[in-house]
Amino acid sequence: MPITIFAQGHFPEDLNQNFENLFKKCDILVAEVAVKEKYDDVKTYLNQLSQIGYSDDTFLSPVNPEYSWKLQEFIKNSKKQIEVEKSPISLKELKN
Amino acid sequence: MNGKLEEACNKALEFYQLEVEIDKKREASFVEQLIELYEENEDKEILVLYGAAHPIYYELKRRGINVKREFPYLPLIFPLPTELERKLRFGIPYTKDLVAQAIIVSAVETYLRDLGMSSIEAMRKSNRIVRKLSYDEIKDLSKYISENSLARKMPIEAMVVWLKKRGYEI
Repeated sequence: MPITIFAQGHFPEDLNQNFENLFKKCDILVAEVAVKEKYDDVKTYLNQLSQIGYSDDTFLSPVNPEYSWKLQEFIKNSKKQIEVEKSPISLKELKN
Repeated sequence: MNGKLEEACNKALEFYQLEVEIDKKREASFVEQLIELYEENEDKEILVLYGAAHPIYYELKRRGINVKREFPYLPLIFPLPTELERKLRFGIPYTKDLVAQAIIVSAVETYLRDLGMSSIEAMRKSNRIVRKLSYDEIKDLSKYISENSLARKMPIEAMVVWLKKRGYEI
């Protein structure tokens, strides 16, 4: 099966019907995470959200809070496997 | 900007060039990660949510991966700073107007969002307004803010007044 890249701009409006259809069909969702320090937290958070519907261990630090909120609504209780980007970039590197 | 637009543009170009290098590093690593995930899960449907400015689709295709691309809507409009970054990345000529526009557009976008506009509409409208401004006009704006003590305290509001005075609908 092909990998589908949903190329978007991180706006809540991007997570539209087209995204919803693709999300329903997928087995694995891969999300973008820009910095390596967030990898474990975000992966744990999103997988708990997907499998059990909540997570109070960690938090998501979003680029666009509305976008992030909408994405979480899709993921919540979806039972999808969530993978996240393993970025080689550190927060320190970004701040410099 | 403090009235020194040329200096601000040079700093902005340095910053965007750095962003380009960071993006390239991230994308190279992400492509490897996706190939590994794909090879381990060829029977599964994998959906990747990634910023449209990152050309990972072409790299995956070049590497022989079965990949397709979907968009939320078309045409996709990039914010002006992203447009500039893409020009830098792909060696496409850019104007000094665009560099100056990329510096100020987020202030207009913030103002429009604060008025209650959705983030995508604020981006599109701020793009439309700021794209009409030339380097020289932005230099005038910068001078206006730096020479006016009230404007320095409220630069976004001052910019809106300046734009309205020149007939820009904001």
